[in-house]
Amino acid sequence: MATVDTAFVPATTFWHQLRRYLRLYGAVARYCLARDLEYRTNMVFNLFREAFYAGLQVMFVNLIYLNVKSVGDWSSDQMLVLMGSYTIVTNLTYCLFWETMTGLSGLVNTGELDLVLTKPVNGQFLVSVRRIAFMNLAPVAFGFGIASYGITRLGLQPGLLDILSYLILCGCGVALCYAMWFSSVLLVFWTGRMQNIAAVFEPVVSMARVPTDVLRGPIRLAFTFVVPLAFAGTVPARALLGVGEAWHMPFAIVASVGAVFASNKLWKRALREYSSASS
Amino acid sequence: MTTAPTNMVARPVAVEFPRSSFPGTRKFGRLLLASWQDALQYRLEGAVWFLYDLLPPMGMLLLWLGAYRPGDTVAGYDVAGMVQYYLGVIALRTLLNPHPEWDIAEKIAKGTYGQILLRPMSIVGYHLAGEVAWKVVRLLWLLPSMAICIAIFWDYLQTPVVSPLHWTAFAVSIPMGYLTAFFLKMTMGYVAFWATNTEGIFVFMISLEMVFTGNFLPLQAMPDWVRMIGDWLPYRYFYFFSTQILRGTFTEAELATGILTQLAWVIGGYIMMRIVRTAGIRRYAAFGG
Repeated sequence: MATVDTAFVPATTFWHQLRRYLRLYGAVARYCLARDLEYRTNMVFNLFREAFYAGLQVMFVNLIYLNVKSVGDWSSDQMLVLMGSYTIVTNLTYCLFWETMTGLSGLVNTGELDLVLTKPVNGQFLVSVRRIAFMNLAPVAFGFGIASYGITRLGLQPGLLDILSYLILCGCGVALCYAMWFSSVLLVFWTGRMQNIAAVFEPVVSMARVPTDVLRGPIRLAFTFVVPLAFAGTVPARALLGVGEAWHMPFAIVASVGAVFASNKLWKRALREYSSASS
Repeated sequence: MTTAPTNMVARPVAVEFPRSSFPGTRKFGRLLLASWQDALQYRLEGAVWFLYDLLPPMGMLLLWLGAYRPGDTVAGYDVAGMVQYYLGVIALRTLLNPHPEWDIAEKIAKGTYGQILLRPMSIVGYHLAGEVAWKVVRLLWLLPSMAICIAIFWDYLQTPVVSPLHWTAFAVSIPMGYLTAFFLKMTMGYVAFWATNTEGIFVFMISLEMVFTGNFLPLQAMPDWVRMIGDWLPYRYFYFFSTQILRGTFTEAELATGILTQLAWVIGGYIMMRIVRTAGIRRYAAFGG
């Protein structure tokens, strides 16, 4: 009797769907890892290169402390925790979504998006997870190292609950970054020719290195609620330092779920602008 | 009333340039116009690249503003001086930082650089026209952005009070800063004659540039060993030198030394570019059409 791959059997309940999508994601991850391991030397070089650039970013910001004692209320050790958190959130976002975001413009312009849309899975899911850049895991590990070093130098001993809160907030930061990035890349459905639209994310998210509490007035509010860069650095760092605010966690969870949901609405709207260009 | 026939083919409007006594000027003018038209098609792409010039230094400025206490002077800059420095860096970097290396490396890798080499015009002129055209597109985004920045930081700003000699030196340093960067980056682009994957090299060079041009921090705020290395590199003459002229701290002798050193980097960069290009062409085996 022939076996049937359950990943492609129409699923009915939420849990079936979830299991099906997780299996699909696992298959993508295995494929990407196998592809990277085909060129091991290149992968090792890329891992070191990405960690090196993450290190440079941390060094640049902390050079300020050669000249001043604090930035706002942030000492140099606290800033290490912030930079570690920023490195973790941004590089996890790059690891999971970089290649797909940069490829979406090409899919739309060449009409290859047809091949995605005709698959029996959610289109947004498939365009978002088609590639994983494992080389960006090196700076993620580096970020954890920097944050841990900062915490150790401060003499803090965060409890299990603090670490769990920190990881959840980092996860929310990744979800918010994904939603912002994906929504901005969708602009290509209207403009057509913006091949570099995915590059818009990098300079924007670089502003997350600035602690939001040193900002004033409307800029601070914008960084928290409009373009929520606070969740890509400051908010997780404050949670790990034990100075987080109670509303951060529920707001982060609601905002990240809401932002991903809104990006899905925008995706569906953008698809109405899509006219296949393939033969 | 007459109506135009529907099958009429739109013909490009020829723009006549006056004949010039300078050889190559007319060709350059035409190429510049064509490059402008091309760049204007991609003005939204220009907006994205402009964010790379605008936001990283703006982030550093916001960090500095969080660090200053009333009356503080850091690395010779009071808070107003620091604001002016970063706004100057944003404006000058946007206008004076060319990127010919990516285009050169791509064409060499694809095998189409032969088409450029065989054209009856200056290769430098070809790349210069393309780069200057893109800078005009960047101006579209720079001007409104600077207007907003000036409104936000109005209280920190003042017209530089420097002598006419400083203003003259500043005006001279602008094109020379551009050419310093331009020839260095053309040389980098020609590395593609030997290396198949140049992206890693270019990204590494951008990191060096960020440090030594004073893009992240004014060089005075850097550790001594970084400044010592920077003294032997051309990066400080891209636009950092121009920002320092307007601070008015240079004596006449320092101004003259700075301008002459910048000129030496321009000439040295041109010679280096020619040497590397000539050596590269000897081993170039174009396979593109």
